[in-house]
Amino acid sequence: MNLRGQLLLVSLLTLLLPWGGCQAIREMESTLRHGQENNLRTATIAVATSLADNPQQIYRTSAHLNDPSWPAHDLYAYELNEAIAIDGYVNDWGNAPLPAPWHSGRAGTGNPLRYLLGKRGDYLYLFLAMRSQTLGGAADLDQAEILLETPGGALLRLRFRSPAPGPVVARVEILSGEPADTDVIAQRIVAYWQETGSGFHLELRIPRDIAGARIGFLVAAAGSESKAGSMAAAQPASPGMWFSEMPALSAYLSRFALPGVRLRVADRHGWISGDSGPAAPTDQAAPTPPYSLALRIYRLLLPERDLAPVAQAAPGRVSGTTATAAMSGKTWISRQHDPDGNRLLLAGAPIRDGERVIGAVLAEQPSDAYLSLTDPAAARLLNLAVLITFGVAAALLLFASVLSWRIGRLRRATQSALDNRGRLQTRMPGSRAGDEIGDLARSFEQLLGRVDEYTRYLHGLGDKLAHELRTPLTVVRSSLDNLDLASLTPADRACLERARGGAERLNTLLSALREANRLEQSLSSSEFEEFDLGEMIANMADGFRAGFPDRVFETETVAAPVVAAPDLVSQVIDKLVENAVEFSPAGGRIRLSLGEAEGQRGKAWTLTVANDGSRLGPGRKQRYFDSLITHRTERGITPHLGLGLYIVRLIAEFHGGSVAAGNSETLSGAEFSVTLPVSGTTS
Amino acid sequence: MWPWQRITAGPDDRDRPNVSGRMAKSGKFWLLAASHRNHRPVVVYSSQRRPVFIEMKRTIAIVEDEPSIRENYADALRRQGYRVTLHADRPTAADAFASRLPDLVIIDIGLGDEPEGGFALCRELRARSPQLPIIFLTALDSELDVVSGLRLGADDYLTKDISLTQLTARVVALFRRVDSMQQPDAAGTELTQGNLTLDLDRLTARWNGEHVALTVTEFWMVHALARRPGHVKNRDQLMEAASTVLDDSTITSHIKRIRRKFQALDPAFDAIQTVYGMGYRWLEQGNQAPP
Repeated sequence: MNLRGQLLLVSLLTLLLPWGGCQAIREMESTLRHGQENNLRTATIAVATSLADNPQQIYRTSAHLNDPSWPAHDLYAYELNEAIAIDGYVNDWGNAPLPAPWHSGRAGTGNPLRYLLGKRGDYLYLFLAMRSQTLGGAADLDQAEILLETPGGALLRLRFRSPAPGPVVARVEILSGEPADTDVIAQRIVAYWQETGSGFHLELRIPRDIAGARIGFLVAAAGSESKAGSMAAAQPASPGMWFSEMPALSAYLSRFALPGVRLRVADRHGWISGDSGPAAPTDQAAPTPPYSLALRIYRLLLPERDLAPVAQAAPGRVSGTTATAAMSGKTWISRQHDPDGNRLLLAGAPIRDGERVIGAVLAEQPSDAYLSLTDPAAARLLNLAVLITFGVAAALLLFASVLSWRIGRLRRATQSALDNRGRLQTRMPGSRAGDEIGDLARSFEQLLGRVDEYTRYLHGLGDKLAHELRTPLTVVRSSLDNLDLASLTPADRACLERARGGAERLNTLLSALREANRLEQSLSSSEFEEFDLGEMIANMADGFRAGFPDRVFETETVAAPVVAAPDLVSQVIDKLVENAVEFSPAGGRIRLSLGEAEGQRGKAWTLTVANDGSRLGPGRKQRYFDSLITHRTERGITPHLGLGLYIVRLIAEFHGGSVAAGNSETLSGAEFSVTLPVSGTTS
Repeated sequence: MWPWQRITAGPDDRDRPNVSGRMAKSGKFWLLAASHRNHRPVVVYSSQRRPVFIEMKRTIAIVEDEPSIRENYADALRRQGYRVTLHADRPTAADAFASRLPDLVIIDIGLGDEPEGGFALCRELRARSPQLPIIFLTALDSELDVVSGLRLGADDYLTKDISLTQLTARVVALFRRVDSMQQPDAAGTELTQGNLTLDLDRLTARWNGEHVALTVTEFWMVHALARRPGHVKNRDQLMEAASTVLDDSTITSHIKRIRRKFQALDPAFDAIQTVYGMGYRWLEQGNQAPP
């Protein structure tokens, strides 16, 4: 992984900033929540305390209080807000939980009967809806039976049967208690029978002075043996109690209810007897839109621990852990979420009458309320943190890019420190920087400087050596020159000639050794001019034919105008031909050919000198152009240092050209070629 | 420079075989001044009007820090009849030259612990005598050294590759030039080629009548080229003509220097043409080079 990637990875650590911010906000939220819970609990306990020892506030009658348990036949009457028209239609039941599930008795969803019980003013209202597929005849009609306990304790039975839709009058029967005028009672009960496509509705109104603490009903569809209703079908049927909200208690509770809080009082059977009504919306502003999207993301990233769903209670009842705990005498608080996903805070406190728990106060508060307080701050904090994260990441990325650019620049400079002509570029970029990369660059400079010194030393070594050897050689040669030839015997003279020959050879060697170095010095002073390379080769070939009569020279040239240093170019040809002559047998052919080529910088000429003779061995062909490398196998008479092709390379590279070695395709030996650009530019 | 040269008065006595010049009476001797035989100074003295020829040996000073080389050169030159004085370093040579100048000086550039002592010495000598022939004989043969040596006014710059024979030839040539300079009236052998006039005795060249300051080596090269205009001389031929041993690049720089000297007088000078791959040739005036 490169430096940039590594630093980018490190920069991911700055993501801890928003994470830390989220943690802090959750901490804050937790504190706020705690305070809220305390407040709600305190309020709940206060209400519960105020209701203690006062059962008549919760229970309509003491019978309700003392009802031993929750008999299966008990019913709940809604407090109706609107006047009800007795017409067999349910649509004016207003605040009653319609179309919420009807009370479907306890027989499950298969039960064909559904009912609504309501209370408004001095009347009790009952709505029955029966699903019935059969239409009975005159002898077998749909019928409904209602058992009613009057406040006086008498038990009445009201029977309804109707062959056709419309107002119906009950047949009243007194089952027990004081006798009374049943017709009068029947007249006071208003009822309406309505047929629907799937059955029938019965809607009726009963004055409260007839309706006591208990009520029950049974409905039988025509042609069916079974009956459905709130009572057991077995005789004697006993109606259950009906419970309802206490308006006074509700009014009392709504005085206590803080904004956003719903207070309810449940009696010991779980029926709701007081309700402050749905919570008024809080006056705190909801989170503003720009934050909400970001917040949603954060909430998604940092989910709260799972909340239990709010228990779904039957209409008119309370249920759930809070209610259960409060009923058993414990103060309880819990957080749950409703089906819409809103978080709720629920608190419950028992209402006591002496030692006995007579009910419970249940408070409910949307716990999202505090979010409206924290979210803008949180959003600001988080946005800032994210902004900082990106900023830091970008800065680190930039920094890493600069670093890696500097290191890359240093690497490139190091790679190209040695140029084509073997010179060292000892200046490193960025060596003036004060940091570690600057140190590195300086170290490189020092190293390269030393290498350069050493290279220079090696470079000059041959020259120095030649120079130093020259003086003793001069001594030898001048001493030999000084020998008086006349006084020597012929044997001495032969000896002298041999000594002279050796000294001469030594001298040639030393000259050759210095030639390459001297050439490098003279390169800078060469002058470029335009001339015809082809003509030069043709001219020189003539000279070679005269100079080497035992070789066959073939030329293949074209008119090749070139801008170069002619002296140097002729030296190149000389050296190539010298090399070819040395490696070709007597009578061998040497071919000089000139052709057009594509150089690195446009058009170029390639001069190839091939010869008969032995072929080049395997390995790097370019090595033949190195200094002091010779590919000869046998020792010749003339000294050979392998500098000729090195000089060729130096001159070619000085002109911005290149050299190549290979085996000839037309002749039996090797070929060496030089490519020179047409327009001469010194490299 | 010559002790008898200062004697100018005296009766004429020209009727002497093999000698030319003026006779002068000094004390009881008659002296014949500024004479030479075979390019060697000759003193002729006579007391009874019968001349007696005595060779006056010319003095050559060799300033060279390597004793063996010094002795070898000295031996060779002595065999040729010269008087040779030897100096190992610049101070002793300068001291010796302060009292008396030699007739010719051969100087090595690196002298003992002075790497460029020869240059300093040359500068000193040239300041004292514009005519004194000075030859640099050194192992240093870089282009820069050659140019600096010649710029200081040396008459020639030779590398130690040169053989003793070649060195003596050079010395003789220089003396001949000096001698012919001292006889301004004497008509030397001249070679005229277009605008170029070469005085073969004095080894001087003139271009359009103006003097071109050529070293002996350069003179011989120009001579080799100009003698047969149009003929290409290759490097070996030039080297032979100049009686020296030079490598290719040194010949190239010699030719370059010659061209520059001519061009200093005549910017349009282009008589020396390079025939790439073959050598050089002298172009006849007004003639274009054959293709």
